[in-house]
Amino acid sequence: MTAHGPLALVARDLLCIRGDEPVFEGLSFTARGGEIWQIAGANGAGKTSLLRILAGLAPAAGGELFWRERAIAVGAEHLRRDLSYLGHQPGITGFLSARENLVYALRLAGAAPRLDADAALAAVGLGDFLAAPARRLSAGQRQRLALARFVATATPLWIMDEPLTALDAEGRALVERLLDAHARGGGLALVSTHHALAVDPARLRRYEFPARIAA
Amino acid sequence: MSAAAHGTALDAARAVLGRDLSRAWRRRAEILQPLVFFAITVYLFPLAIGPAEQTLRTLLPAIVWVAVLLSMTLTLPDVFAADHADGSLDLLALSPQPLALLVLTKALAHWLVGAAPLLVLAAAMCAVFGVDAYTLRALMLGLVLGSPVLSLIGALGSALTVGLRGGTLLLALITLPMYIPVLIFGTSAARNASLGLPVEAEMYLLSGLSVLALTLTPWATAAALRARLG
Repeated sequence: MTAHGPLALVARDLLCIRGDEPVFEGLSFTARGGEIWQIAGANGAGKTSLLRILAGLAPAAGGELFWRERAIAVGAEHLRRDLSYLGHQPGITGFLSARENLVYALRLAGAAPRLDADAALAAVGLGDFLAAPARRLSAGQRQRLALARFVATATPLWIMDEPLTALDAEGRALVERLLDAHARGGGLALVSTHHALAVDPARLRRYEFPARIAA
Repeated sequence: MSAAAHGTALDAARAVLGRDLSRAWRRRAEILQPLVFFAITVYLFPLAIGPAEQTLRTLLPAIVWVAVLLSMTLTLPDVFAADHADGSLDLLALSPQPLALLVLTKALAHWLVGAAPLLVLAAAMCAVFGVDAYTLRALMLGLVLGSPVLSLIGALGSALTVGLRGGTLLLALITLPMYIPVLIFGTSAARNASLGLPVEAEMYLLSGLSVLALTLTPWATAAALRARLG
């Protein structure tokens, strides 16, 4: 696909409303390729809501959002082409094997593969579980299976909601390695997590949600 | 692999179809349940009506149609609800390929898993009950032409109720009324056939409904899905 504009995600004055109450408002930032953005904040501050808006899954109640200088609406096609997304639920089907899950996700994403599925699974430490039904994998192994998508494809924009959940120390180091390599290669990653991210500090940006004032 | 080139819409659609079919195959014990439900529903009527063979033979096509509607409603949560629970629906919605094509594929998978076996069973049961060949042909042709509409509308209802509490019952309440036109033409074809009358008109109408559902519902389903995920 032809590239449009520099790799940058620009938010201007974003507003998110849940029920009748604003979750956040007036949120603006410019995230560029080569940066790793850590989205931090208390539970319920709106991290997941923000990431779903940025991924084009949910609409913002107000404000503007641009990816590569083109506005993002829900389901924006130019965003879908460039995005790899890891949600709260990792998107793994228990009845399929680890390999089948990954191959399905890769064919659905259609992005140019960087590694074949087996190599990607080996890279995230699931080399011995290729044919195991995903429902027998532990929570941490499922998270690794979801991460294998990020190893296998070369999309420029990564959005990860709590990728460190259920991962052991080695798994967290794996995520940090992936993020570093992605940013070094010019990609942009937005990651929500409470944990400190041991990545290249020169590339790390932090967005801290302000504490919400109870009504 | 002879599959379409990686990265094309067709390849993504084939991936969706293959995944839904192999998931169904791995849970085949569960997939059999709607078939058993269908058989039991149909067999309840002879018990309730009593040994009036002619009455039963007259009513059987209508009974089969209603049982098909109900059984197909049972499998609708498989279309999107399970995928919503594990997060794979997000992946579907974020695929760069046209979502309308992907949801159309999921409706096709639902038809193959939830309708095709029912039709075979329905034909076998009607033959057992002694429905004459002309009526049986009209009934089956009606089911073949009409059941895709049920899967397509069912997928739309399924998308509209994704993630809602009590979604399964709501889904039935939304979809069953929309099944009424298909039911009317399908049963009227079978009734005409049992009287030896022509059934072309109903078949054309059922085909028309199928084409209409095929061309309109995928876009509506895709839009409903995006709205529900938001």
